[in-house]
Amino acid sequence: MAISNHGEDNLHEEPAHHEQMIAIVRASGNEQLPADQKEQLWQTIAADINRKPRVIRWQLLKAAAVILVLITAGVWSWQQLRSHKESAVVAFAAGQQSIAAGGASRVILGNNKQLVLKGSRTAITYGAGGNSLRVDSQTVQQAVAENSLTFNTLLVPYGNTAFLQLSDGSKVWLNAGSRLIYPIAFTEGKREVYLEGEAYFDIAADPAKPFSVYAADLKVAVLGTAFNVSAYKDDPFRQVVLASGAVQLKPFRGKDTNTDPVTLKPGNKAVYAENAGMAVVNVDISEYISWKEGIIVAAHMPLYEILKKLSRYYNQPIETDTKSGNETFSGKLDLQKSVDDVLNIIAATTSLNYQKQGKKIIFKTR
Amino acid sequence: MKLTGVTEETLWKNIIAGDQQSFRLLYEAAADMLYAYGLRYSSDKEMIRDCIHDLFTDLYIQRHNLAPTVNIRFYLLASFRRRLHTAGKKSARVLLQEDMSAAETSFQVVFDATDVQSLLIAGEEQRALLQQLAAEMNKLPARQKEILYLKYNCELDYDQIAGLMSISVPTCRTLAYRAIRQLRQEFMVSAAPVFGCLLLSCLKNF
Repeated sequence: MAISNHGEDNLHEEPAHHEQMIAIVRASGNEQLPADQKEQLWQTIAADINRKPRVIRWQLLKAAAVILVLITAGVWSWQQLRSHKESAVVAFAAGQQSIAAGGASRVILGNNKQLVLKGSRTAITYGAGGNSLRVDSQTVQQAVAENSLTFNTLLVPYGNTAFLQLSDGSKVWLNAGSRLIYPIAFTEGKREVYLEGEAYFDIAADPAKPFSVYAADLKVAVLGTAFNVSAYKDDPFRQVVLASGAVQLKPFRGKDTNTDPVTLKPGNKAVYAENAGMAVVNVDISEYISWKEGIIVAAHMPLYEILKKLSRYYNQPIETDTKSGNETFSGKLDLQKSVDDVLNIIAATTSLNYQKQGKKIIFKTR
Repeated sequence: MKLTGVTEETLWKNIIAGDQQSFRLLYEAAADMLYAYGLRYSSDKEMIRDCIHDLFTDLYIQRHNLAPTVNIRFYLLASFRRRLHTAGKKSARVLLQEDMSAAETSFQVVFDATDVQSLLIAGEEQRALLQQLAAEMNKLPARQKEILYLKYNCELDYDQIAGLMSISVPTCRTLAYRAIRQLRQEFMVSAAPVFGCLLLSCLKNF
């Protein structure tokens, strides 16, 4: 710096003194936490990190409408707790085979007929009564049973995505490798669907008929809200990200069924696994729901996460060595592009390159 | 914050993997530093302890979302500072300000030479000079003291200090430089000139 040129000689004469100011700073403001308090504080931390699931601290909710909605949800889930009856849609899911790895998307109708969908990005819309569904421009009629629920299943293998509008007007975007089971008409006092894989839900408000998503072992109870659920079989965690409204989470099978429900606020992400409990954090939701617009938004996302998403989306096995897999990346990937284009973008903007080994693609540090 | 027998990288990796022993080690190593740092902004010791509690529980519970490589000290101080700020807004007892570019911040430290341990300052006369230097340091504006504290006590670099205080790196450097220049000027007048010159060597490092 400009100043240092005068007095250079003094610097060399007394080099020790330049450390005196530093020594004073180091010797000041060093209060220690008293040993007993330090130990006590650790005990409460240790107790809290081993308790599950984590209870979120409530902040005062200002909008009366929101409180009303939550109370309704609360009362309802309490009634659910009392009845403890297995949901019809969960029972139906248990009797059905899991999703196949590839091929075209299909709708399995109530009479076990299969509707094979053309194209890898299909839109399906159910009419208000549930007795008709439109796939792109084709319309299919279906009888709605009087006294029981008729379930349809939408299968979306790897390499495909789908958009679905249910008979109540709720919208569901299904990501690659997903299965959704739903009644064609919500004739009962509640709306229940079953999900395996990943979906973004935009639920039509209907306080008289609460909506819930059963995802693997986690139940997501909602009223008029938009959120993303990720419950892939090959992921260790279930993940719910709330965009708006409110949802309540509760494991519905496994050993955590007696835990208190956890309520999410917009911007919250909940991560759940039976052996690890539930954790709630705040996230940038765009990172979690951008897939429905055909974009991956990554913010410090580990490479293996990105590749897993691409692998599902393009139905293309992609692997990485553990070293580069943990590196994190930020940015946007446009999934409208071909798989080769996307892989080349990753290679060009990082210190990685990839090679093809048979059908597999392997990323390595250059 | 001193770690013995383990590198920061290994410790952090173990914590992300869920090793509670490593987590405890981090707590033992960092709790005092955070406590002392908290006292720079608030005298509410209970609130400071609460913030330490929340920082560590959240860190562990959210460990899957942690970046694999971080400067742990900076990560803890930055996260802790945010928590103090949030907690302070609630209790209104803490003095930390949102807009750090405001003329005066609430950073509070009393520089004191009593605990300086150095063989170089064995004599009475030199001790007295050192106390005098500390007295001059206490006259510095709060933000300059804060930078000195973060740089030499918390051992952060300018990029980190600037990030923590929400100021630009050049502003941060300028403030630090001003602090040292002021000390030199004051000391030239009030104390032995030879001692004043010594501070010039500080300038060399900026």
